[in-house]
Amino acid sequence: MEITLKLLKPLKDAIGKDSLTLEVDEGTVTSLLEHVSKAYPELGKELLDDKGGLDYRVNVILNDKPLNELDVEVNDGDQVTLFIPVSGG
Amino acid sequence: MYDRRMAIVDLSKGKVKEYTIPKKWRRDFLGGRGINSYLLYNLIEKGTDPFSPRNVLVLGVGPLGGTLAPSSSRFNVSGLSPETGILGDSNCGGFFGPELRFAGFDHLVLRGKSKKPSYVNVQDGEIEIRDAKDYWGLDTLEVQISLRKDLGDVESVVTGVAGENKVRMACLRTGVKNAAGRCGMGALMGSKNVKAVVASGVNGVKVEHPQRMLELMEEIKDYLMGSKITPILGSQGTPLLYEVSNALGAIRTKNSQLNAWSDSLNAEELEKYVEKMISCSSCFMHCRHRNVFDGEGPEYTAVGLLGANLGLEDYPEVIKLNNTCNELGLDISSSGSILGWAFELYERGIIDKKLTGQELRFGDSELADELLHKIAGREGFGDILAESSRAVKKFGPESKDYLIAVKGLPQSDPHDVRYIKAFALGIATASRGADHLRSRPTLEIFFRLPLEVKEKIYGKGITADPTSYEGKERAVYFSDNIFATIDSVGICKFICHGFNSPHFLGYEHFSKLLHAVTGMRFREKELENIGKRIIDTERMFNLKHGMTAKDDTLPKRYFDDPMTMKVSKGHKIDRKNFEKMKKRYYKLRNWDEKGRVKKQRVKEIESYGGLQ
Repeated sequence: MEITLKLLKPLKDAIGKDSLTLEVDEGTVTSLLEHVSKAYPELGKELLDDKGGLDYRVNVILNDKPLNELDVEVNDGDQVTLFIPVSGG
Repeated sequence: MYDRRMAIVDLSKGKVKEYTIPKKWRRDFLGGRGINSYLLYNLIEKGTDPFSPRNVLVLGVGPLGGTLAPSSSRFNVSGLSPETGILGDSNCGGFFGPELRFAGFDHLVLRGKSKKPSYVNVQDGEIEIRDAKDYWGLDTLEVQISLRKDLGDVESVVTGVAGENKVRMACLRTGVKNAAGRCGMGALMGSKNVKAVVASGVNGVKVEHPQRMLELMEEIKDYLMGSKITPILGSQGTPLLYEVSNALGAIRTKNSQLNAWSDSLNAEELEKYVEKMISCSSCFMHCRHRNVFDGEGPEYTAVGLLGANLGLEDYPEVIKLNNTCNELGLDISSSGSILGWAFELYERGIIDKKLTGQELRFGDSELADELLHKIAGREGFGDILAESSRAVKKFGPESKDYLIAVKGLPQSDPHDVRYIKAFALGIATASRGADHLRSRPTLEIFFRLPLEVKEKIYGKGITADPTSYEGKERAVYFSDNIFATIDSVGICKFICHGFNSPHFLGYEHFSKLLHAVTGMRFREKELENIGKRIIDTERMFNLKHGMTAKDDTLPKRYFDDPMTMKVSKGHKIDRKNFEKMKKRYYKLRNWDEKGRVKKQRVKEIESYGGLQ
């Protein structure tokens, strides 16, 4: 199935693109991110924490729904957006 | 070396009186915002008009200001706000704060009114009121250049043409862009016939344990540089936030009629117009942009409020408006909010050409620039807009329904708070009005922050879901307290826990730094209590000047109109749930049901007494 991965700054800088179209097997957001981290190691460095899990600072939006749990099924045509929020004035 | 001195400059009498800051104040209010707020409570009588000579303008630096401590450039400017009539307080970076300490003073109170245009010169422990006729009428950059030409290597905080004309949203500026932006502190300085406060000094700041300070700085540098967030902030600065808020559908657009806008204002588009990144004093973050149009900025606030909020998509247009505000001495947050409000009112037919003298519309940067100049000069329709939210008097009661302001202060940041409920409570209860820099619990936007981590920071009862009202009072309470402490030690929130990463500096680090610099030991709990004391003092000040619990509210649109786009679609603020959350916040703060500080606490705070 086809999934669109959208990346905001600074994550997009890791691969020089703001989106990827991925052909993946059926699975969850977790398996999708494992796949992406392996396929794009530079992006993986930004996404993963010391223990190899997704860093808590990385926010995940599946279509228009923010996720706090990643074991959510992804379906053909879904868009997954990843970003790191910061604050300022 | 000088150590913790302050002075009251009586502009009417032309006299200066110096004081040593009482140790009890230093211990329990620290400095900067804390001591400023305590001074305001003591010095400004109930019923004072903000433009009366009886109002005071206080400049204050924290005990870490001007030391090696990271990002220790900050100082606060405070007074009864000409924009809101309640607490006016604004925190600013740059190089002026440290220089004021090098010149011998931590706090400076300007009272009375000068008979003619003046500036206050602080040099090596001496204060003088001087003639400013050669500087009156200059823009914020021209006056600073002229002062340096005439006086040498000085730092100054100045008011622009807008402040001279008592535009209620006029800011104070130091350097090209740094601003004590909020609450009309530039108008207050202008009302006193003062163009600038100038500082220069060859003395450093006394540090009790210099060796320990050096060791600490090594530790802190490594600690901060180890964070994933640090290089992001240093390379992108705050404009990065535009894309984040926009992805959520939380960018205030066209006076919050919409909640998402163009990708053309994303941070990478800005890079085309950036000459280099620069920093304030003692900072290794370097989050400020020097732009190719001879200015600095824009910050996220300017990108949102002079861009999306005015219906503009083109970065050069937004940067130029940003530079115009900087030169004229206008607060960008209020200016962008007030222009967006006026444009919507015109579109709706609530105001017309009879009042405005011209057609108003979104998406026209030339019109926006023209209006900014008219506001600064109080010309034509600009004279009405120069009243900021008080323009309701001219626009009529219906206009208030579309005003994005709390307690008369237009909302500071471009983030639409209808989605994340703690953000909404934060701007509703902030002591200076609608402002994210008083209590924004940013960690709420980390959707995947484990609940146990949130509970450790905010306490049991906080909920994971950012759209829930439950327990969110805890996030605001924590943030209020730590932000007040940060503003009082004199460092930048950008590198602190609560505002950005939980792995940035917190009470533990402040305690170590304060001991190295002052020799005084503060337990972490004591530092949190100082924050609470400052919040209570500011509340007492606001209650004294007529604020009530009814003023702890939100713009009508945030309650009535659901957001229409992206992740935030369908979200608005439910009045009943909001009121319940607000009451829980009051309880946590130990205020009564009407949001009043209890008598025993008032007595305790008043017991610190006045200056001897």
